[in-house]
Amino acid sequence: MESALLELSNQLAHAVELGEPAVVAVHGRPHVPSSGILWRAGVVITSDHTLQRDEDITVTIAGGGNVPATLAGRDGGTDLAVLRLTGGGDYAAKTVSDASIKPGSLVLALGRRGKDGVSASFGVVSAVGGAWRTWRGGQIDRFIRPGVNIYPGFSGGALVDVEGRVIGLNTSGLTRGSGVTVPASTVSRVVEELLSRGHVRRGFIGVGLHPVRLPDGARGLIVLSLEPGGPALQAGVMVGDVLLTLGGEAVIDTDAVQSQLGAERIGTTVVAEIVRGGRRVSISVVPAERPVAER
Amino acid sequence: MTYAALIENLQRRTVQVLSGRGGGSGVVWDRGGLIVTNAHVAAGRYAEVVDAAGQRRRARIVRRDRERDLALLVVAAGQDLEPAEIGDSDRLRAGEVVVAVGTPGAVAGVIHTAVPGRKWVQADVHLAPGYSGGILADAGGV
Repeated sequence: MESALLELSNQLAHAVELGEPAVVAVHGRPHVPSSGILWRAGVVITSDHTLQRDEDITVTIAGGGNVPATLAGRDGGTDLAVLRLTGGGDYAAKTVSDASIKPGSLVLALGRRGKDGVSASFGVVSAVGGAWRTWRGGQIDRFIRPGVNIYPGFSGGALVDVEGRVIGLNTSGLTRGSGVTVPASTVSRVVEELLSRGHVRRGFIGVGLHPVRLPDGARGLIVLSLEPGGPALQAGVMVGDVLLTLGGEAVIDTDAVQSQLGAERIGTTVVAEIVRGGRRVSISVVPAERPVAER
Repeated sequence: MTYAALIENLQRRTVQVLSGRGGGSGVVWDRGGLIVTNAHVAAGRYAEVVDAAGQRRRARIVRRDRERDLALLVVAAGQDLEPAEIGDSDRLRAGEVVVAVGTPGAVAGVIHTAVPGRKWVQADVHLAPGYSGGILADAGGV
């Protein structure tokens, strides 16, 4: 029995050593730097909310070297930002499928503050759930409540399993109280979009909406405004229309509308069921890409 | 050694320090009855020390370093107190399991940041009042 605790201790310290090369410090705000993950050679991801400037960013990689970085793009919705290193950082994080993560799985959060090496906190995964939408409108493939201390400077760092493999990116910017982990699958998707376009595409129909209840008890969203030249106006939607369903799904809040307007819907036909003057009508709308300035 | 045995072993090398308004914990440092605690735990010139068996003894505060928050106490008849095994903090690694032992109990966690040569270490352990002055030990009880 002597060895059981020592074995666990050695395994955890070893997991930190294995995860360490992927964890960097990101100098993109005053005072305490945030953490980041060397996702693939020369590409670092960090949390969007801790990156407070778009220029003069440097990254401290394993070994203590400081490398200048440029911002490739940000996505506030998933709280991710992607940086390109201007040299060095020839390493790619080893990731693990979030399917293997269950409540009770032992995990470590890793962060880096600068030249002091990597820092760790330890705990068990407290909750795992399905896909969810953040308050900033981003789609995240899996809910992971890591159950570890997200210390100041830990946002943007990695959640690793007991073999040092990266489960995802920890952030305190998407939830109140304890942080959440953005799983590797979501990170990979957002990294590809940000590297190729500089932003994450989202669908848009150009309406201002407010929840209402109709005299028959049905709930929907009343159209308060229409974007000039927007897809909804072009399709014949009018101010005062009450939107009941979009793409076949009931919409009782704007979140439900957002979830029907993912990037895959851009340029396709979506049917909106509307109450106009007491009568139900169906209108086909073709979502466009949301202009970047409106995010 | 089981976790319970490890904690029991460390608790025998830990004392409760009662002094002035409050108190905390202390580590038995050698066979001569020398106790190390925090300066903020040991106020005044004398303190009372309670060992794991509940025996109360009077201790004299011989040195206090407020900058490092350390104080040295000497228990007059303290030769029977078992001293803690002192480790080398330069050999700690981030992620290693550690336990904090004090008079209210024990709590486990991991090393947060380990920087060889630095005069302190940080641990990811939730400390409660009363742990101040107590032991931080590795999985081998050192």
